[in-house]
Amino acid sequence: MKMKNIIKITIIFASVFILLSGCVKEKFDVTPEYVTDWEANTTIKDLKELLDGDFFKIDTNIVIKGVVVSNDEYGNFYKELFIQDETGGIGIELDASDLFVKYPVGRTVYVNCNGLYLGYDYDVPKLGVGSDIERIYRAKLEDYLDISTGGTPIEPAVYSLDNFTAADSLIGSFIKFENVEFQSTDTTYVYEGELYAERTIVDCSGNSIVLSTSSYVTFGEVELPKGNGSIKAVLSKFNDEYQLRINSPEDVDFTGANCSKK
Amino acid sequence: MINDDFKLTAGIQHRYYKARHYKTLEDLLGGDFVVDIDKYASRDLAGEGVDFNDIRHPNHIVEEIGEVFGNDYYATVNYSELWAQASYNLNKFDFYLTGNGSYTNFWRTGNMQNGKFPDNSIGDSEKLAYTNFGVKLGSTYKLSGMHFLHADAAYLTKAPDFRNAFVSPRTRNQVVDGISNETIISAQAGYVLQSSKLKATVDVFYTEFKDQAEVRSFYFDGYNSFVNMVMSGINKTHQGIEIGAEYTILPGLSVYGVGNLGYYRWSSRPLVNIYVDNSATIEFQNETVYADGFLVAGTPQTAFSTGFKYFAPKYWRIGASVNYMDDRYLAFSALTRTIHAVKFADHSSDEYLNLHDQEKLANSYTIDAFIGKSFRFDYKYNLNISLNVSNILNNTDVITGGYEQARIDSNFSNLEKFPPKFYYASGLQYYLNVSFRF
Repeated sequence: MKMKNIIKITIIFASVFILLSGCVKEKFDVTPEYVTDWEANTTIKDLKELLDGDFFKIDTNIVIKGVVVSNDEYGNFYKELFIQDETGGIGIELDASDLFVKYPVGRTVYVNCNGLYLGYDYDVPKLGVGSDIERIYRAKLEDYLDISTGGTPIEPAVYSLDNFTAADSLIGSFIKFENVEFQSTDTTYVYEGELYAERTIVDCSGNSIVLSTSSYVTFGEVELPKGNGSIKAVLSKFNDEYQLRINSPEDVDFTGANCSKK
Repeated sequence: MINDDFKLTAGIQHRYYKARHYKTLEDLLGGDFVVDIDKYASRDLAGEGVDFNDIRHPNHIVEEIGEVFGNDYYATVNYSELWAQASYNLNKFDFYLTGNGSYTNFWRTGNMQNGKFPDNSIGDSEKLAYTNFGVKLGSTYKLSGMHFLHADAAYLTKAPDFRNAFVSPRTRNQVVDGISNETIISAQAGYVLQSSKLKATVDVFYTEFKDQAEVRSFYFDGYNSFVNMVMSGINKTHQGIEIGAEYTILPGLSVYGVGNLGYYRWSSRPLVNIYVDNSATIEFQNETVYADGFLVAGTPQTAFSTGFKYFAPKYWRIGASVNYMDDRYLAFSALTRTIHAVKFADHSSDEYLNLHDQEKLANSYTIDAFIGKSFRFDYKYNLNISLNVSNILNNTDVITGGYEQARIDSNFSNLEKFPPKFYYASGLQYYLNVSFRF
């Protein structure tokens, strides 16, 4: 065989090869995101308005939908979850920890309320089991709770400490105050021996609200920031007094000049 | 044989296979004995005797080296086949047609009565039977004495394997739901050149495997238990092109090159069922695996090799080759391609987005060589010495394969917890072969 023929054949082979390899396009299947088949039929506000007394058992098909606003990663929330929709927020008592893994801030959660009780944990409306609003058993959790993927963290609405009264409809919601600071700063979020640490937050006109922090938090030894700025927190109520509960010190952005320097 | 142009051959065969699978005591590691119980069953299940691996021998004390304990069963497989081949040779054309029909049956025979499955572990299981057939036909067209074109096609069905038909053959007779025959459809066409100095072939091929099944066993953190994951309805498509050429430069000395360009992929969305090993509970019932388009792992899909061979006078021979491998993929985990297994994962994380992709392993090449010599004595004895050396460059950072772990985080969320595992190439290897023929 002549060299010319060999070259010819080589060229033919090579071109067939290149041609065929060009036809191949890799395309991988995409696993669809999980979507619950539950449908929300009641707003959180409408559900809370059904509460006329200390508690009641929900025995109708009520499904609410909300976005998670509480985070138990740093210990300030424990076996409880707060969710919020456009109309308000509510707490759920669950016998499970590390909720932030499955229900992180921003995740859309559906609650099948049929069979649960709605009542008050002190002054905070919560869903739970039995008239004492106890925690939903771990094994039953997925009977009452489902998720859909997607969802974004709630951007908290801004309120002023001036005349912050009759705000019960905001309990359980993630809210924000601007131009506020700690009244006294030479301390930490929690010091040893405290069960619940209460720190007063004030604006420059002297209006105040209490920041309540559990002694189980991992940031207890962090010093309170000395500046002025904004705070984001879940609104709570204890003994007729409004309180704020933060997820972590990252929710406290007190970096500006404080009132004494303004 | 009927005449010179037309040939017919036929045959019959039967295969019988029986194997015993069991566990024996090898070493007590300093202990005096071991009790033949299932510790997971003791922890998780209630009931008298539920943790005995054989309730006919409660609290069986295993102390003799070589003693059988834990599990013990027979696998019996019968295979009968009838086949025939007809070929017809003409001046310009050759044709052939082959066909076969077969009957397979198999069953498990338990030699222990497991405390967890007392009614479904000892004795014969259901006898599974499958009837299959296959047809293959092909033709060669002789363009001239040097150039040939050929085309072949095949359709056949295949019985499932024993090991994929039982959920957990170690413990029980439970058969996988919906296990069925596999179908293979295949076609190929090619060109062959045969001259005194140059031999060359080029082939394109296309094969479809349908309804394959496989069983994987692993620890499932979410249920605190060992599980058996049965995946069925797996279709795979293999297509590609192969070339090969060998050119004789001088008598005894030739250079050659072979190449394969493949595209082997999964072409269906199989279903998985997860059977908890210690109970009959099924989790993940008929959950869809979004695997369509994922690539078949375990083999480089692109490979080239080129080299030379020299058969010198006095029975010396020497040769070397350069081998290039590419398009090798990490074996994907089917479980994480289901909706539920990643339900709580952070869907914006890189790890999650990577599930819609498949990791391609780096390409690699190796150089191999061989040398050999034969000696003949007295015209009847033959001494043969050869040395083969592979991976001469001692490339040990080559990843030859790997897989994503089936094990997943108990919260169905943390995708980094059980990272993939990789295999690395062993470095330079050689073997010396000395043989004497008489």
